[in-house]
Parts: sequence; structure tokens; C-alpha cells
Amino acid sequence: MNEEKGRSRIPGSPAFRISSLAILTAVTAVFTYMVRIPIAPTRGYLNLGDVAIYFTAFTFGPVSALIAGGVGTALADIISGYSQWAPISLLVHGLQGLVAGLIASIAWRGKRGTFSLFWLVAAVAGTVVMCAGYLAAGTLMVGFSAALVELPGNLLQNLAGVVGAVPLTIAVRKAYPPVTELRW
Amino acid sequence: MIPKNSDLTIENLCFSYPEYPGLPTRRLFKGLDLQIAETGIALLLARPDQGKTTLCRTLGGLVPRFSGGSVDGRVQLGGLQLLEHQPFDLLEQVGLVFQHPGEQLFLSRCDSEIAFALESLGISRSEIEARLEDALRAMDLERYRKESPKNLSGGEKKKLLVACLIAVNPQLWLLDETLEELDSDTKTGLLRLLKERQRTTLILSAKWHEMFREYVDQVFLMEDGKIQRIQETFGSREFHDLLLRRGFILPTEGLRARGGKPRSSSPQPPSVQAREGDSLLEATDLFFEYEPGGGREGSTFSLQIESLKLQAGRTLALVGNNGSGKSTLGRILCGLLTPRRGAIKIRKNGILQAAVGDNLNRFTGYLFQDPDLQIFLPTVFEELALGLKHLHLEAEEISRRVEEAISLFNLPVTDSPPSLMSYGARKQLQAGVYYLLDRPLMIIDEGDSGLGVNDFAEMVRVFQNPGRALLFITHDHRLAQGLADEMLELKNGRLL
Amino acid sequence: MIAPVYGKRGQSAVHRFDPRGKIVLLVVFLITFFLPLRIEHLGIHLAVVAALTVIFLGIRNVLRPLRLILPILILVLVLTPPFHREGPVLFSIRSVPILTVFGLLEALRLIVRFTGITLIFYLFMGTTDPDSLALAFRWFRLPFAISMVLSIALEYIPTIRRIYNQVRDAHRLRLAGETGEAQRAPRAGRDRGKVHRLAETIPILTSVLILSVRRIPTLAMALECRGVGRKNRRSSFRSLKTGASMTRDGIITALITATVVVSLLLFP
Repeated sequence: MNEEKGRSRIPGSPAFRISSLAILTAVTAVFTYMVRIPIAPTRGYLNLGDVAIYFTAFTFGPVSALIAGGVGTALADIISGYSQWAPISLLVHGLQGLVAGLIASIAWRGKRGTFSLFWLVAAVAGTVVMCAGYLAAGTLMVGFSAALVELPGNLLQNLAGVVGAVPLTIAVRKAYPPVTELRW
Repeated sequence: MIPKNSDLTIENLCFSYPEYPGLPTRRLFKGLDLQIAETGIALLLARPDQGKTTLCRTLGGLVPRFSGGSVDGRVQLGGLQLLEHQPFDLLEQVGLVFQHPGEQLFLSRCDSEIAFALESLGISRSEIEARLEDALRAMDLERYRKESPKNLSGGEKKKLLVACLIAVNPQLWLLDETLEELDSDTKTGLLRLLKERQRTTLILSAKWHEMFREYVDQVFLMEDGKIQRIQETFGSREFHDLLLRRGFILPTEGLRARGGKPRSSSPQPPSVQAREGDSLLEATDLFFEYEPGGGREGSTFSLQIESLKLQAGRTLALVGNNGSGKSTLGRILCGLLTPRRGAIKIRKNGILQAAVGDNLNRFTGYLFQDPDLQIFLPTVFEELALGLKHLHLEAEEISRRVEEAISLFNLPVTDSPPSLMSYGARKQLQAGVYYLLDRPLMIIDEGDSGLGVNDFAEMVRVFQNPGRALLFITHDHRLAQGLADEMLELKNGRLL
Repeated sequence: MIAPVYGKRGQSAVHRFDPRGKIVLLVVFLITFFLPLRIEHLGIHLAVVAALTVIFLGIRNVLRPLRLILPILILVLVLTPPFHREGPVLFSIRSVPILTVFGLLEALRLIVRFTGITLIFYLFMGTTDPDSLALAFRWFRLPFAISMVLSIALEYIPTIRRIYNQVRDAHRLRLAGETGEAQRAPRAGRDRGKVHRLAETIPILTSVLILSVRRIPTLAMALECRGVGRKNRRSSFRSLKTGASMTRDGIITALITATVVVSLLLFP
């Protein structure tokens, strides 16, 4: 059956890919800028963007997570008035999504609600990419010491990202099984 | 690929939904046959969930491409076999207006929307400009040319999509419930335009409107996977009776007849001690307006209600056009919106007490028009049982109540997820959930959209209870008159 | 909500300036701010950018981004000098140098750079509408599919936001009614409230994701029935202005770039 292969029954049409990327990007953007808890005085707020990125990585794969993660967070930055960070978000969160998606897709299972340990590995890798990326970029923008201040916040955010994304991915698959066929 | 004419012939069209574990294979179309001569305007009547949208999409090549499942049979337009082509190659042959216009619009300007399909065809800029002007003028949308489609009302969005169709001018036009929720002038205008344009047209609808008589050539009924052409002459007694029997015309009386399903047997919530006729909620001097920037762009809408009483055992209908404030009032009554001025009192422990926010949330049940807003669990049972868990009931009692709800609302008993059920079934599930929550005040927002008239009447009957006040919001005046004890009309935020 | 960031309705010279030119200048100024120039030089660039922002977007609009980054700037000012303690000492405690000229300069440099970048982006975003931007990207050969993803994502952000708000309302209404529990010890419930709120978020996000994901095939259908996927070449209805104004803006862009480059060479 189609589900076991994990391949979409919808042909790889450009319209489908555009649609999928656009909506996932919008979801990531909304998760990033809408649900925020201010913690650090820098640009920091705990946002659920990482939840969306990991969800996309686990459910849709590396390409989707790359674009949705990068463009989504960049758009969120622009909307909230931090457009100077947009190019950096594009790169860092894009890479985060890509890496997490690649690792998660190693153990792709189409069955309902199956949890894979690879998701945790993927999330750890994503965290490393994101934190290192922001540290490097932050150093360029505001200097190493100020960038370092953001690090704990970023770690916390990624932790929230994983803690949120895992049950969320399972819940969505159980409540809406056809989601596995939207992967490409 | 140039067909000789635009006759539409559907022959033995079959469609089955894709298979899922736990769900029996469902056949939606069991051999549809339909013929429309070119330039003819045909009307297809079908109740919700009978397959109107799936039929349109099949003709457009979108099903089974995006839905899965299997299609069989032949569909011929002129000399062209529609089922053998991809949707993007059928642009000049088939044009489709979706049932929910918001799902079909995706650009930031109205003129870009209209131009998009023409750009796909590779048409020159000057030609696009000419067609764009023509389309905007025909649908009276010139003033919205540079506006975002988001700023348009629901009816105007539908007009925009028709304008997109005009610009491309395909041979076959498929209008999926396009005439619903348009005001009469727009409806007539649209029908007149269809006649003028001389294209083969199929209008799909769940209700019969008298104005169809003048513009429609043939009427078909689709039910249980089959299409039947109505032979009876329009306007004749037989025609009227047939539509009445099948649920496409509202009966003028008899909707409220008690009987049939037993009335709900749930006990009245303990905190509300009220006899039939007592006020459960009283609102006085309510005033509300959206903050600048919130709500509809640039609107100066305000809601002002001097007095509103909702009584136990009584059913109230709230009617009004789009933008009159029906949903706003509903949201105030359940505590989602706070009025700027005014007081709301609810009955607790026998007396009326002031209430805000949380208290109102707990007092009122609100069935949103979109049933999917609160579905998140994998089975029907879990969805229904969720609200019962905090009551600390025995597992047996929970099961009993859940099964009562399942039978009252005709819900399927399988283990498959609610999100795979038909739209109507999901609306019934939403009702079941709130039925079990047993709130003293129930508000149903546009429940009749997506449910047939009879099903909706059933739902209202089930909720009616001597200890409960029921308010339902609808466009349909006749439905309101038929089902409610009293009808309130809102216009521009004021009660008439 | 996106509107204040995108100056759709503005009519000034910068608003109407060709977006392609603006993109080029954005890159030029960005690079300039990252170069290791003398602080005075950087300061002049910053002043120019700030002046442009004030002139074309108004003083209130300059304060907005500055207010947003103020916390970071303070952080930089405080944290940078301790790590750069070479050079002439300005301030010391018991002969341990705390603040040196070099440290101060470094902090200032970072502040100027970050402020400059912030303002240049703000100016750019505030004077360019998304449609022109999309057209400019297409002109720079961004593939059609990617520009579609961008435009549609922007259009769908308010939609998803609306879905989120509605779902939150619906869940709140449905799960309200822990009758009696809310009356009990509201104060003790505060910590409980946070955990509760977290637990409530997963169902809400589940519904939001299901609703969003369901729209993917529908949107794909909408795109295909308007021709996305055809083999022929697409025409373009709207395009950026060519002719006189493009030439003029192009020349201005070149001039400004040249000025910057010359100044870099003259004052390294």
C-alpha cells in the first residue's frame, strides 16, 4: 500500500510542491512570531518556531524543513520588526531544518503514530546547528560576548522545540493519517 | 485538441474513496450519467456530502489526482476526453469556482488573480489587459482592481473568481455552490451573465431558488451516487412536491413537529436551577466595537443591543446578512469577546448574577461553523469522552453517555479518525461533543451550512430541553421561522 | 500588521525607487558596515542611513527599530570592553584595568555596525512593497516556483494566524467548565496554570496543524486549475518599469556605489 512506502500518491507536481512549501512556511512564520514568551533581553523570546521546524522535518522531510524553516523564520523576523536578522534566520534555521530532516528521514515510517529515536538525534543535531549558527552570526553582528548571552535562551528554545514537536507529530499523524502521504 | 463543440457528456462515472484501514471502501459515484448541450445552463441539486465538489473536481482533472481513490467512466466535452488530461492542460476547456472562495485565491491583488491564469497560458500583456478590463467591468469589481482579495467579502470573492473565469472564458463552467450566500441582486446578475456568455454551464447547489426557473434549462438531482434528470415541468405542482420531498425546498410548516428522535434525556446541570421560561441569560445595554485595525479593514462597525433575554426551554434564531454582527454577538454571549459597555447576567444557583469571560465560557456552548477547529484526537470515542473525563465518572457511565451521543447524532462507530469523516459527519460530531458537555446555553453558528435542512432540524430538536436556552444563527429566514420560537434580526449591529 | 513594515502607500522618492537598485544598495551598505574601517568612517555611513530614514520614513519610524534594539546595544556596551583590555586605560579598580580606550572603541564599532544594519534593513523594508520585491527577485532570475512560495506564504500568514486564534477560542470554550475547580484556590493555581497552559497548547497546535496541512492539496488544486505545471513559458502581466526611470535609478545606484567605493579607498 502506498502508506508503507511513505511516498506521496500525489505526483511530484510543481503546484503541489509550491503549495506544500508555502503553507508550511506560513505555519512556521506564525508559530515563530505569534507564540512568544520573552526571556532574554536581546532579540530573544522563546518562540514555537522550532516546534514547527522539527514538526516539518519529522513529517515532511529535509527539503520542506529547509525552506519552511529558513523562509518562515525570516518572514517572522521581518514582520516583528527585526528584519536585520532575516538573512541570518534564513541561513541558520534553514540549515537546522535541513539537518534535522535528513537525519529524521533515515528512519522513515509511514505507520500511524510511530515514534522514532532518530527524531531525537535529528533534534539534537538541529540544536547544535542552530545554536552554533546563531553564535557565529551573532558574533558578526554584535560581538562574541553579547552573542554568548543568547546561547542559553537558544538551547531552551530548542528543548521546547523537541518537547513540543514529538508529541505534536505523533498526535497529528494519529488524528490525520493522510498527512504521511503529503511528504515529498 | 480542438473539439468540435461544447456538449458535455458524462457516462457511467464512478468514484470510490481511497482505502484506509478501518474504513470500508466507500463508493461515491455509482455510475453517473449526465448530458448538457452546448451553451446550456444546467442545475445539479444534491444534498451536502453527496459529491457536488468531487464531481466538479473530477471534471476538472483534479480528482483522483489530488484526492486518491479511483475513477471510472467517461467524460466528454465536445470531442475531448476530459479524464485523460491534467488539470493545467484543461484551462481553456474547463473552469471551476470552488465552494470556498478563500481556498482558491492566493495572490495579493485582485488584478493579479485574474491575470494569473492568462499568464499561465502565455497570453500577451496587451491581451491580458483587455480581458482583465472586460472581466472587472462585467462583475462590477473595477474599484477593487488593486485591492487585496482579503479585503473582499465572501460574496465579492466569489464574484472575483467568476471574473477569473470570464477572463479565461473556457468552454465549460462549473460553479460549486457559487450562488449560495449571495444576495438576490448578485444572484440574478450572475445568472443573467451566464446566459449572456453562452457557455456550457453546470451550477451545483444544495437548495432550490425560484430565480433558477428563468435561467436554467434543465435540473438534475444527484443522490446515492446516481443522477436523475427531472422531467417535471418547472413551476408545476409535481416539480415543487418532488423538491420538497427530497429536501431541496423548505417546508413551510412541520419542521418543528416534535417526535422522531427522543428529546435529550440529560439532566439539567446542577448549578442552574431554572424552570422553563426563566431567563438563563440577560444582556443589557451591550455595546461593542472592534479596535481600529482589528476586525474588517477600515470598518466602523459597532454592535448595540439594548436588551436580550435567553430563556430556558426556548429556541431563538438570529438572522442577518454577512457583516450584520451575528457572529460578534454570539462571541460576546459566550465570553470570547468583552463588550465595551453593558452587562451580562447568567443564572447560577437559582439567581441571576453578573458574568464575564471565564464564567460565560463555562456557561455557553458554541458550535462554530467550522467543525474542525476543535478536532484533534484519533477516534470519535475519545473526542466525545474528552469533556466527560473531568466529571470523575465511572468508565461505564462515560461509555454509556458516549454511546447515547453516537446514536443521537448518527455517528459512525468505527475506530477511524474523525478527520476522515465527511463534513456533515464532523458537524454532527461537534454537536455530539457539546451535547455531552451539557451547557445551559447553546449557540449554533451557521449550522445549516453543510448539513441538509432535515439533519439540521434534527440537531436542533436534540438540543432542545426545558432547562436549556438555544440560539441558532443563520442566513436563512425561512429556516429560522420554521424552527425557532422567536426570530431576531440584526442589521448593521442593531436589532430590528 | 505587515503593512507598517512594508511602505505600500508611500510616495517618496525612495518609495518609488527601483527595487532592483535598492537591493544593490542594500548589499553595498551591508558590506560597508562589515569592513574594518575607522570608527569615524563607519559613523558617517550610519549618519547617512539614519538621515535617509528620518527624511523618508519620519522620525517616529526611526525610533521604533532603535527602541527594539536598545537592549542589545546596552548589552554590547557592557559586555564588550571587559574582553578588550589592551591600550590606554580609562578606568580601573585597584590597578586592574576595566575599561580601556580600545575596549570602548570596539564596543562603539559594534554598536555602530549593528545600528547601521538595522536601519538600512528597516529603510529598505519600509519603502518597498512585497509585489515589487517579488518582481525584482524574478528579474534577478529567482525561479518562478520559489517566488510563488514566497508570495503565497506571505498571503497565507494572516490566514494561519486567524486559524490559530479561532482554534484557541474553540478549545478554550470546549475545555472550560472544570466546574468547581476554578473556584478553588485561584492563587495556588498559578503554577498549575503554566503547566496547564503548556498541556493545553499541544491540542491547540494539533488542530492548527491538521487544518493547515489539509489545505495543501486544496491549494495545489487551485494552482493547477489556473495553469501551474504547464509546459509553455509563462507571460508576465506586471513588470518593473523599464525605460527612462529605470535608467535614471540605475545611474543613481551606480553613482552611490561608486561614491562609497571611492570613500573606502581614500579612507581605509
